[in-house]
Amino acid sequence: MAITTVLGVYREPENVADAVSRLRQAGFGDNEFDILSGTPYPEGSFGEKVQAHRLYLWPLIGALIGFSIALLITAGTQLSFPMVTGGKPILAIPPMLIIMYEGTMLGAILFTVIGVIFESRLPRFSLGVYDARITQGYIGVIVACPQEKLGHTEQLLRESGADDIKKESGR
Amino acid sequence: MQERKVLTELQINDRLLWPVLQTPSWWWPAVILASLVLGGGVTAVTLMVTLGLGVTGLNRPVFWGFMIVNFVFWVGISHAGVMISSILRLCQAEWRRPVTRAAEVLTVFSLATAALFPLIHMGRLWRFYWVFPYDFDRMLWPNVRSPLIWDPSAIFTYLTGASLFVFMALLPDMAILRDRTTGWKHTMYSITSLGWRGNPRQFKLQFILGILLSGLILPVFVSVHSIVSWDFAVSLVPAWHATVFAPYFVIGAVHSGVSGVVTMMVVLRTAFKWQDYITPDHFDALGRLLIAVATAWLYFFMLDVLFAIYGGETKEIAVMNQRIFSWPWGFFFFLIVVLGYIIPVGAWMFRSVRRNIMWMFFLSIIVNMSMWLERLWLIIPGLQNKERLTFNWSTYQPGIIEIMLVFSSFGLVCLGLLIFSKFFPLIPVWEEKEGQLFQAEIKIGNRTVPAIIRE
Amino acid sequence: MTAHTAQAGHAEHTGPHHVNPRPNLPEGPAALTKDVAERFAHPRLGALLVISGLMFLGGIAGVVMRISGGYEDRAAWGFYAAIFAWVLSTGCSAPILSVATRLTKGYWRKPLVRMTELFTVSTILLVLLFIPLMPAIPSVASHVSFWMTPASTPLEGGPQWALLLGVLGLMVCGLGLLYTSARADKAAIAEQSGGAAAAGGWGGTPNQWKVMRQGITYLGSFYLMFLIFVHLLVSIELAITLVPGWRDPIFPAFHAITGLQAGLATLIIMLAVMKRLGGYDQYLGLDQFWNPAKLLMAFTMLWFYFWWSAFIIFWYGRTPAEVGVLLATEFGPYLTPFVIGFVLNFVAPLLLLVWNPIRVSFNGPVVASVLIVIGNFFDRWRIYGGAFGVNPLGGHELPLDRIPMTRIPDLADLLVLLGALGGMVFFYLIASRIIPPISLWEVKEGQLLTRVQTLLRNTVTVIGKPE
Repeated sequence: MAITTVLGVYREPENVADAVSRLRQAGFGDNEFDILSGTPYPEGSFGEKVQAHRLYLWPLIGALIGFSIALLITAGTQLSFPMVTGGKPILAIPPMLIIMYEGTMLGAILFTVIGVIFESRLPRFSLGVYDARITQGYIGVIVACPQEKLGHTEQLLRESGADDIKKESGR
Repeated sequence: MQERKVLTELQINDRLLWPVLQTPSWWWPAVILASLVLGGGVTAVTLMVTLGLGVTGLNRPVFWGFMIVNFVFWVGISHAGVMISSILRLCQAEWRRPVTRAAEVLTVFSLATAALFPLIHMGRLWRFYWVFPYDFDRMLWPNVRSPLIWDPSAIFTYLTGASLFVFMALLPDMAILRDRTTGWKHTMYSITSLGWRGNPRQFKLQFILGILLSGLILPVFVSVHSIVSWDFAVSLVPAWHATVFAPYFVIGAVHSGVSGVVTMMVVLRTAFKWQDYITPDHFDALGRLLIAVATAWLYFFMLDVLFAIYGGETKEIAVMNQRIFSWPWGFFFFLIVVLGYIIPVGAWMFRSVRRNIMWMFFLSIIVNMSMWLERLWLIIPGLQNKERLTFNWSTYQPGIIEIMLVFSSFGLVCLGLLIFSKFFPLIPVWEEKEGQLFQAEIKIGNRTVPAIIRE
Repeated sequence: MTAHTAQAGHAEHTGPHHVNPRPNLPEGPAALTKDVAERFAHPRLGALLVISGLMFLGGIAGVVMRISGGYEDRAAWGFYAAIFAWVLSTGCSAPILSVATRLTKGYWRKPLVRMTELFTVSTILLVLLFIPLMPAIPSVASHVSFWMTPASTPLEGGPQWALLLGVLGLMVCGLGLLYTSARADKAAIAEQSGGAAAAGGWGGTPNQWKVMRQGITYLGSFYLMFLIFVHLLVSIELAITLVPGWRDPIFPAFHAITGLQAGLATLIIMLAVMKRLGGYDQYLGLDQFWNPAKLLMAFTMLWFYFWWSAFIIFWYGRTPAEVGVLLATEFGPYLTPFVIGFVLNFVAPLLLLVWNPIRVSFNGPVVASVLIVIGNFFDRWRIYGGAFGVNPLGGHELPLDRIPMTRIPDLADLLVLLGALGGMVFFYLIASRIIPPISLWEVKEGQLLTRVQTLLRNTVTVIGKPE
């Protein structure tokens, strides 16, 4: 079934909220339309629902990996060159803890960033149907609709006050 | 925040992006000047590499001089960025918005500058890779027990974290620039914005990222300057070996760093004509923060001085005597206390001073002068007489090389900020737009009270 | 985009993340006053008042027993000194949340501010506990004293007088703060039942409000300064100077920070009691537990940071004096209390509070707080038990063969401990029957400055920021 991506470009936020209501009434699910804006509106302002994410797992995984690598490096270097310095034991735990702490935090930070990029569905190599006015104060409503619903969708977007409609045929 | 203007997205885009899309008339002269100053430093390093460390004032027993003072100073300046950005983000303070990115970028460049100094200080800096554990045959491993190895781990973590923080928060703004540019700039921003489109999920994750990274980077920020302080404190050099060094250095870093942010905000407001965005309210808030930070700094400073004397150890008391009563250290002690606390905090107690841009600029400069001197006062005197054999006692005379390096470090940071400002907005555009959205008012009787929206 | 102007709007808030700055309270100043006045006139927790009173009396008996044992054996007073430091760290440090949140202007503080200020009555207990302890502080001439006077002219009595002035100053500031902040509420409640004449001169004029606010700011700031000062003196005179060679500039700061942690934990426990059993359930919502829990997590990490900063220097330096100090107060005979304190102050609370579902709940912060309050006591015991056990004093390092043995607390010690705990609760509950536990004027102000309104299809809260 051919899917066409339709973008409605709006000036007024109230019209966007109206468009979302109409899309829902027309049977579009949450994963079939999206809102694009240059400003982060409070969540749910247009009646949209954001899908759940699992971002919180990423820092945990990163922290574990960082901890393990730092443990390996610190313990490994001390055991590889077992020379007593300053009266400290060969495996000196307090200094190891410092470097392991930094390694844990580095791992957590790196994986948090990777996690956000991944969960944000980035990088995106093509913008697809988009309008540069979105970063100038306009708001876009983007709908993935089957060919047979295309006309109805366009009409629905226009009736809710879209300034412009753009389309891109897809898969 | 009482001073508010209602601005459209287009107005915000225009005002905050104009330095990126056009070139201010002062930009090229500033870049040339910064480059010349930096060039002096490059020349100094070249001379040092060619002729050896002997061209500096370093000699037995004072092997750590201006270069290490500069290292500690710039690590200190780097602390404010993340502190302001992270703590204010976690507290959801609205007044943070124009301040955060500039402070974070200052962190990145000052930390990178700081990291150069131990390298330069090595003398044979082409051998720096020996510190990494990679060549098993050489059987030479970094000494994990040494704080000089803890340093790179901490600084690398902090630099990576701060850089990623800046980059990720830049994504929406790079998308705006992608939409406003053509040619090679459009291509560059298209790549760097990673295809950002601005849907609710992406913005929600941006918000969570801000909270998560703030929460992660705050402990790192505390640990970095603590680890730098342990370069000194874990040794047995008189007047260095004190348990208070870690929080003392951290709070001193916050003091100098926040003052550095104040300096930078004044420059940004004036140079980029951002009076609508950087208002006296921001300086008022920073001034109040600085009173608390400076008082905490004085508390730790007094603890350090009093306990050195209390212990009754001969060498400790000898160093303290030298630091407080002999020239030039006694004069520096006076300057540190007066310029670092008495004058600024006395002035910040007055609201009219906190809201006066020129006064805040002047006070922030003298605070940083005093903090640089404080690092010098901490490091050198303990080394001068630490040897048992008195014929090894000596004073430290900085050479022209070290003085050039100090000035060139300022040139490097300024150059970095200038180049950054040419490619990316120093005030987060999307955060300012969000701030506009969250502005509200409440009518109570005849009075209209400014308000903010919370989700 | 234009600023949104909010008029009266009282829609139910149903946001996903949310926190509700407008809990389900009576609307309007008169209704609020009536509600608080009724609860105030019929206080609960009578049984707890009686039990804590009995414990307090038991504590007095314990003090008498301790005094009758004399002052020759300084080690016998180590546990007592630990209790004194524990009361300073828990009850007396709790009011700091009132000071700090006034400065940062967090809106969630409004219902709980008075409950934190009520803890200033613990300073009375602190003064009462200090007086018997004064003779136990050794003579200035007998050891390396912080007063640094020449051996020929020691400033005898210096530590005692400085500490006495410190705790008295703390008490005066604390009680002054409580009185100043409660005056308007006492007047409002009295006026409701007895008319304007009963308000006692409080008319609520702009000038009176201005003076009151300034008074609270200054008294709160002085309280904070006195608190840090007392922590400094207690940690120096009752611990550091008693252990030869203990040169540790961070220790006063460690004492203060860990005190603030325990004070915050004490507050959270009391909030839970007042919510569940005290009849103030409506006033104490999730916000009033979640936000202090965030602070508690930060202080828990600071506990470790300040402890570690001292430990790493001593561990690395390994001078004989430093080894002596570590053995006397941490890794020697007082290892068990130290480990218990370490786990309860840092490991367990951090592992609990780092999880969102636990931190953002009513019970999670309370459990962490209980652990911290207990852990703080064990931490004070290992410090002061170790310090008071050192004998004789003097010298620049503690020889390893003179590390003091653990002193197990006797009946007198346990009675004093129960009495201190009971005393804090008893004084608090008495105070809550004299001063309304809810800061009415602040809650009214909060109601005036918050609105719930719709923004497009969302419900949001609008919070006024007149400053």
